Amino acid sequence: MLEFWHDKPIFQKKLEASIAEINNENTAIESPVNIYQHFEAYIKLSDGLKLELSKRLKIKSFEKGEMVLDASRVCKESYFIQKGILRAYFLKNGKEVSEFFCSVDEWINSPKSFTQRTTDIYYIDAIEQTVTYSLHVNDLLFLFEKFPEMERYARLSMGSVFGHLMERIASLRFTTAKERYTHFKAVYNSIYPRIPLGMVASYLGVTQETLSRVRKQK
Amino acid sequence: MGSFFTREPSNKLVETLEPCILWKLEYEKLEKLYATNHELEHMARLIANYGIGLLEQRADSLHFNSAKERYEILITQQPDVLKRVPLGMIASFLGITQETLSRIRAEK
Repeated sequence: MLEFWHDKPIFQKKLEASIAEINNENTAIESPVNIYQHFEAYIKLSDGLKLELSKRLKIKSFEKGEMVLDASRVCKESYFIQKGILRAYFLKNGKEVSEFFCSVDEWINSPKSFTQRTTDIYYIDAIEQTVTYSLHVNDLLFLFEKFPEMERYARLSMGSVFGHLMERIASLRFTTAKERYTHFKAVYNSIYPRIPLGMVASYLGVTQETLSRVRKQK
Repeated sequence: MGSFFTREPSNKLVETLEPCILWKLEYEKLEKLYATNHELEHMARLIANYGIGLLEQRADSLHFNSAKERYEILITQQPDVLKRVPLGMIASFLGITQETLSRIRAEK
């Protein structure tokens, strides 16, 4: 009882802090400074390219639990995350299986659907309130054509999707739940405490009971 | 492959299973070629897309095909793999123990 009473103000403080954070970031992304910095880590941004990017990048926000991509549709947009976590998952025997998670400063899309313009198995949803920049595939192709350096950017920044898929395959090849969980924590070192346990279990291919057991083992 | 792109060490090792003769191209030299030939950069992006497609296919197979099916796909696509790759490596590639692999092979 006493503990609860002590916890409450802390919880309130946290809530206030996170609201302040959301407000701050919302004002910050009115001009796409953060994403320009991200591009400039790979290529030099000319004023012309900055202008075209600012015309084409759209801010899109998603509520916790909101669907970003339905697998019955072709993925025509790529999302660059400014805040929050998006998850790619698919359905197996009617159940959600988490494939990978993306967070701040990462692009996410349904890779095959986006590049080959076909439908694919992946759904994308928001597991927290999430703020992104979205870029339509046609705009991306326009940028490739007009600004050869964008092609360079795309090739170099593809590392994050590449990395997620490579680590996913590595994970699936471990034969025990414990190995998979250790690997999961290493790959998602900075965000794993924010991922709901049910989603972690489906990523690992184990039941939530098995996951609880593995987490207790230490 | 991840390390080559990100310029950071990774946990992946590459080793020879038999004597090999290889071409090599250093990262800096490849980047120089990309910088001076935009067609090459364009090709590299498309190859990277293709690579992502292959990785996705591999993940799909690990999700949806049974170990036995994955074994059969492997020996159909790369028929001489059994003659040239130790069974322990084939088992870890398929994500199964060597005992399970022996059982699958005995079923034939």
